[in-house]
Amino acid sequence: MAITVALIGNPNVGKTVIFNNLTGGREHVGNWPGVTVEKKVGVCIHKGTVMNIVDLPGVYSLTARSIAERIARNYIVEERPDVVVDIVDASNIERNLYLTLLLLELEANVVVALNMWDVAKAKGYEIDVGMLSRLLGVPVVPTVAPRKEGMEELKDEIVKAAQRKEKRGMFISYGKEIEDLIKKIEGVLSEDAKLSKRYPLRWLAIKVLEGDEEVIKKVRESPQGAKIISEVLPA
Amino acid sequence: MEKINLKAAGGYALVLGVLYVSVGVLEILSWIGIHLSGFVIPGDLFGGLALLVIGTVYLSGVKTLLAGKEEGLAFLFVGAILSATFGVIFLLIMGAHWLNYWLGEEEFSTIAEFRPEIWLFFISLPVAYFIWKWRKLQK
Amino acid sequence: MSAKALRGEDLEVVLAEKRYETIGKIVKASVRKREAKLTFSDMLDKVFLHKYLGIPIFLAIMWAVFQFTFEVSSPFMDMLESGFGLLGKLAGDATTPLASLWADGICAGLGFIMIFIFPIFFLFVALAILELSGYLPRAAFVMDRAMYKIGLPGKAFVPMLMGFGCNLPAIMATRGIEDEKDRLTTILVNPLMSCGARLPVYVVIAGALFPDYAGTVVFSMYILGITLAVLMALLFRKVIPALKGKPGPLILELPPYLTPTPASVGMLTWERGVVFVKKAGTILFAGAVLMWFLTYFPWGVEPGSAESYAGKLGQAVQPIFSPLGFSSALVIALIFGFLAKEIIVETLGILYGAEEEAAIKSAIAANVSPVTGFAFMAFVLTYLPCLATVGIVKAETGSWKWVGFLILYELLLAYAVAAVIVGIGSLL
Repeated sequence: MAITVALIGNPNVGKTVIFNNLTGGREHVGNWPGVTVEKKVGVCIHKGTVMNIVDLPGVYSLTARSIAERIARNYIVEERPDVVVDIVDASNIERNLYLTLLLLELEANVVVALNMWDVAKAKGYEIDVGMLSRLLGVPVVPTVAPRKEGMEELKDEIVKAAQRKEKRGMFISYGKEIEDLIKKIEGVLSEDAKLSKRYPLRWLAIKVLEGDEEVIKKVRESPQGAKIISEVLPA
Repeated sequence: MEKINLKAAGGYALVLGVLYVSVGVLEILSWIGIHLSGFVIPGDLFGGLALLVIGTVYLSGVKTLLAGKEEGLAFLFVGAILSATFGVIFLLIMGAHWLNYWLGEEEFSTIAEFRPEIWLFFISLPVAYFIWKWRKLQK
Repeated sequence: MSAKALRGEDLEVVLAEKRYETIGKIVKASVRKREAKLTFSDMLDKVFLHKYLGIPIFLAIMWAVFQFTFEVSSPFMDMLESGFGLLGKLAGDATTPLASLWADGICAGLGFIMIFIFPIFFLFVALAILELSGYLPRAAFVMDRAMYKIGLPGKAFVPMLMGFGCNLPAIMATRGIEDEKDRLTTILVNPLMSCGARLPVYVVIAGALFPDYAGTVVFSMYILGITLAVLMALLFRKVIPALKGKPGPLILELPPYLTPTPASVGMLTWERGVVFVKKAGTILFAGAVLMWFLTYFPWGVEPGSAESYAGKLGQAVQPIFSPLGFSSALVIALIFGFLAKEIIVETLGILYGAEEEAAIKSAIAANVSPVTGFAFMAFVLTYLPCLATVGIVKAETGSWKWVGFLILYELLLAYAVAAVIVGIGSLL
């Protein structure tokens, strides 16, 4: 089996080390098309599965505002990698989970690598990994990248995740009013076969509400788009 | 797992401290020309001073440890790190001198080469147990 | 129904808040924070940064480093030297200029200097271990209080320590010092930190004239350098208007202690060491050939004698140095030392007609008195930085004024120090 695996996470969480651990330093470096941002790809073979690993830029969020975020987001949305490994700094968990939630909204197939486990321990944090995994709805693997701890378990989870068919990941409710709006937009968008097949509807709807530039541009191009725009967004 | 026996650690630090300080003083005296220990302890001014420093580190922790405070362990740990550093370095030096001898350059006398820094290091090795236990307790 | 009108707020913010609310709930359910306990790093810092023990510990470690460097490199130097000796014999009897160039110029001259790659290598390894283990910033911290008293900022510590390896990257490392005056002072005294290139000189002379105390003598040179740097820094800060003032405060982040891996130590050592090798391939090689030429020409003269070009050059300059007891051979070596300090030993090798370390040591023992030898080493420590360093000082300070000042004060200081040593020596 051959799968694509994207690595994502906040800057400075040890993504590069994990990338190196997985690919054994055999990497190919290029640029993302049209920009001067570095694109690293590598290969990891684990128990018969060939994993093509793509290193996405380190980002805090997935808005349309910065090149790095757009690259990361577009890769996940357009290329639909089989698995997205979200590398979370265990000693800074609140800030890092923001990206995790965004990935879940993108309906990416997420496996969380809870890295810098040793630093969190040293700072006095005790993290119930099982509970975290249950609440997030995705596998969580504690790792200490420089010591290569957790790498085998991570690879196992990646392969397992790739084989899973059903959608996972928690559902964030935004409250009745917003949820109603979301449902409305989803309803209209679902009439556009092309859009609804390509992108997760809920995510599109949320992005429209957020006023996301790129998504709105895409929606405008759709026949149903004009209707939504005029109804939902201010003139 | 029970906690670390701080009194035992304190006693051990005391022993190591006294040993290092004594050998340090002997090395300095030997350098001056006063050979109290026969010729087993080499004469070395700076070497002796360095041993004095290590001994002082160990001794600094004794009082705190015997009083039952865990912080005293810090001195034992650092003392051991210094012991190890000096021990390894002098082992390497001994190796190099032996290599010289094998090349035919100089003489090699095992007694002279097996410096105190080396056997003092061996005596300090058990501190590793304390370090290991302490780190385990921290988890 | 407009979404914006719905809340009167920017929806994006609302959504973000909601997400953080969710995260808060998740974290509360799965993460617990214990009371912060002392980490192993904290424990170690209690002692390494100790008010009274900190500095002695540092000095002890540094002494051990120098013992290591000196003693362990010795057998390797001997082995490489024999290798070069064999190589030199390939040319047979060095009767033709070309054969002589090979045997006496290249193998003896350059080859001789190459053996010093070992002490330099071992020193770099030790420094790399200290750096990667995280100890170096502790040493900087501990020395900061002391450094402040002598007019140098705590941040100058690492560049100063790097100066023990090579002054070139050390001076470049001063870029981290924000305060201009602090930075200038550090640059001006940095060359007094005995660089790796001077090590061969100490190794040979100390080995020749103080065989039982070689390691300690070499160590004393480094201490002398540090002492001079301290004195000069104090002096400059008090006396030179452009540098007057107190150094800036030290804010230093202490990285965690790590066990350095052999791989990382290897890489760091290689990075620094490769500079020496490159130097050897270029300047030193050219220097060796130039030296050989001056020593053996006009062709047929006794090498290094008064009739050779080198001899003539030495005789011309030597009178300045007679109060110090430096023979013309030593003087010539000093002159060529401007190109690169390693050349000093190369030069002595060629001038004394010695091809091996043992031979050059006995030549030195025969020709140079211990006092003169010690004074010579101190002179080499102080007299001026090599060409490459001068270049970098110009680049970093941007003015020839400071370069000129640097060279001038160092020459005068070197002469003064050597004179004092000779003076004390004659009294003993």
